[in-house]
Amino acid sequence: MSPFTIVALTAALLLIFSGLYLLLKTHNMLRIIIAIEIVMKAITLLLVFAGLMNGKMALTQAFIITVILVEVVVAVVAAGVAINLYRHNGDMEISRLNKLNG
Amino acid sequence: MNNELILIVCMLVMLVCGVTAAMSRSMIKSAINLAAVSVALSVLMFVIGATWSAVFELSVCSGLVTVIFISAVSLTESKLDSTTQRALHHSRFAMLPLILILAGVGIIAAIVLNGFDVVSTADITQTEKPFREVFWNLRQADILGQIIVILVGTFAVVILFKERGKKI
Repeated sequence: MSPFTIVALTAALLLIFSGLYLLLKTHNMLRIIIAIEIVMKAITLLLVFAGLMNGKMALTQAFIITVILVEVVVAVVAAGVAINLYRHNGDMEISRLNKLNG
Repeated sequence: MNNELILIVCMLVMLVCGVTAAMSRSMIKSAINLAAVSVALSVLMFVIGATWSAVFELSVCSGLVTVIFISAVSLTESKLDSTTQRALHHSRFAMLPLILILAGVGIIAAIVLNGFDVVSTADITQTEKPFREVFWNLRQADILGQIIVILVGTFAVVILFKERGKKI
């Protein structure tokens, strides 16, 4: 197996792992968005790797662009929720998210 | 320099910056490290020839998303962390590098010892369709989905930032 394959798989899995660890450990809304972004970057890396392996780079690029778009919209909407959470509660504590209703 | 070496360096930069973004106490540093992850990923895409997605990654992910994060951090600027909060943060993330090193060694050992291999299925004899044709002709449902996602995102932001008592 080539070193490229080993590094690609290991880096992607470790990035997913660190993103999930951050998701589990933090209560801050902005940090949660950062964790989601880290996991999405790892998924994009795996998509690039898959495209390189099956030789269909054009199709992979179409998928990657869709993933990037979804990632950005998720980040924008979540940042909006985080700002509103801060305006209501004065902090970013995710457990107080239910106070935003109404 | 060999292409494979550039790819490996890019992935290592991605890993280091990603872990730093996860561990950093300062939100601005996290956002900048996240942007560095995007830059490394787009360099990787450029090297393997995925230029369109590289341009999107560089402009949108390392540009727009970083601006959004930094704006959100600026708008929600909180008081300085107390010593207790700082200690709590360090205690939460102190174990992460050790866990990642152990997980990395475990993953590499599992890959090497089990003889796990990813075989390339690329057909060299077949010429690949150009990206433009694939994107506009084969993946039309994706384009429709993207338009809907953008509209939903815009609508959500309008709803989130509307002033109280005002009707849209």
